Amino acid sequence: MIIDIHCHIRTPITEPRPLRRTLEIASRFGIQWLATSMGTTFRPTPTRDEIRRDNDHVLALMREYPDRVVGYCYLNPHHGEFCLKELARCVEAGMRGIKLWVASLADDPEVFPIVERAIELDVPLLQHAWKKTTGNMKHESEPRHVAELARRYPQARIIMAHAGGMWEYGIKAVRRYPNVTVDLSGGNPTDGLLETALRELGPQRIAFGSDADCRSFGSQLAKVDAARLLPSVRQAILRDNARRLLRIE
Amino acid sequence: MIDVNASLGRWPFRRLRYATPPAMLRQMDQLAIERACVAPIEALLYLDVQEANREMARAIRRHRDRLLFFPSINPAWPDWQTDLDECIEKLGATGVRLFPSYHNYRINDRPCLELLAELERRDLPVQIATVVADPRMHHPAVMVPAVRLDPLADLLRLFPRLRFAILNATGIRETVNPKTLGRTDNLFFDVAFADGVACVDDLIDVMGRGRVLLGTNAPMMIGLGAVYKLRESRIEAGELRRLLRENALRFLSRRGKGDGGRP
Repeated sequence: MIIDIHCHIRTPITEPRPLRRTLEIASRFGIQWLATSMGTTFRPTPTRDEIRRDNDHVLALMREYPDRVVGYCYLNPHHGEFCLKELARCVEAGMRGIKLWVASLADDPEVFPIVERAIELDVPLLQHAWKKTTGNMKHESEPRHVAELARRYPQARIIMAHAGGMWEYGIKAVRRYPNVTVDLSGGNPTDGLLETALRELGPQRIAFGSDADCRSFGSQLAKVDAARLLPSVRQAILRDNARRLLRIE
Repeated sequence: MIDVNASLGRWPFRRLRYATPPAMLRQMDQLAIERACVAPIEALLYLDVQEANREMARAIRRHRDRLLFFPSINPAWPDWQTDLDECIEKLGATGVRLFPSYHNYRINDRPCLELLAELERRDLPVQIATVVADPRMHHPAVMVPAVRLDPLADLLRLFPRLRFAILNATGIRETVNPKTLGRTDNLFFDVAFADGVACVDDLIDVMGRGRVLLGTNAPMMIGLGAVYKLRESRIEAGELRRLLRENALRFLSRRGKGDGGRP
């Protein structure tokens, strides 16, 4: 069994055929659980209504496919108190984590109340991070912003998405912070990512993710399957670490 | 299967596992890839790309049955014609791979048009690498933009008998308007940078069944990534592999010879 710790199912629930097809394609690779977020709206700086709509979509997916889909609560930290209420609503309804994308830098003080609530609720934070030579969006976190958040909140369980994009940089940025796990999602399957992550972080701090449907399950799973791994290491990356973070039985 | 998009040599930006001929052949065996079109990585940055071509021709001389030589020619440099002659007559080129962004020209610049005319005349297929790595993660000292494909429709009209393979194209709907490309059978796209769930089907739907090729962009990218993408297709596995192979053979075969590019 494989858990995909980072994906997006943007197909409306009213379109069951393509939705089932995405799940069926995931099954071809043995991917049982899809940890999904951001619904159909997929806005970088969503309004309160868009946040509710996106989270409602994910909650509907969780109800429709209770043995396949787990959800993250998508938030825009700019909305302050609303985020804490929305988080409470989503966790109460069964979501297992928080997703932050590019609305705020990870170490912006407006993120702090969300992280403090995540610690109280014992849910992980999946934080987008990408180091781009071509320049980031204004509020798009680089790995160093994630590292700063991890330093400030050592009890927070943080998943740094995409291993930071430019992974040589991203892995080193969070190496000193054991509360950060990197996911392997997004980006091309470049040679060396997994080996570097294993060497610098160890197998307990790496989790498979695809970033589907923006990325293919296959192109991303190849990052793991092309490496020669001990069965226990492979299992940690593909299943056990995500299971521990998301509390999947 | 035939991988139309592989390279060999020293990638300056990180260590790679499958950058030598023996290692590449090992990976090909693991992935059931019978043949691969290979270009020299050094051709990206050597000032004189012909040096890279000669080095690579030597390196693969014992593996010509499986590694099809795609040297690079830089038409922005003087007397590329003599280099092309050498590549064809002495080094055994199966086709030519162009790196317009690394060599700083546009695909509709006059020197490039002259090179394309010569390749058409000599019946050699051409590959245009739109990128080699994701530009977002380029080394800050070597930031190379993606090749603009807007002139592609014009090139198809100008060179109706030249076979084009566009490598590493991403976001194909935004990069090129498929409606402008007609239904010619001399244009191909590889799957290396196609991504998203069922991306091979998507590429087929946009470009047509006869225009899609297996390309891995190995060794910079893990070859298994391209092969795994095939698994997401609605087309039955054996049928899809046959289709990609037939397309590759059409791309490689010289007019009227059906030889799959064997030198």
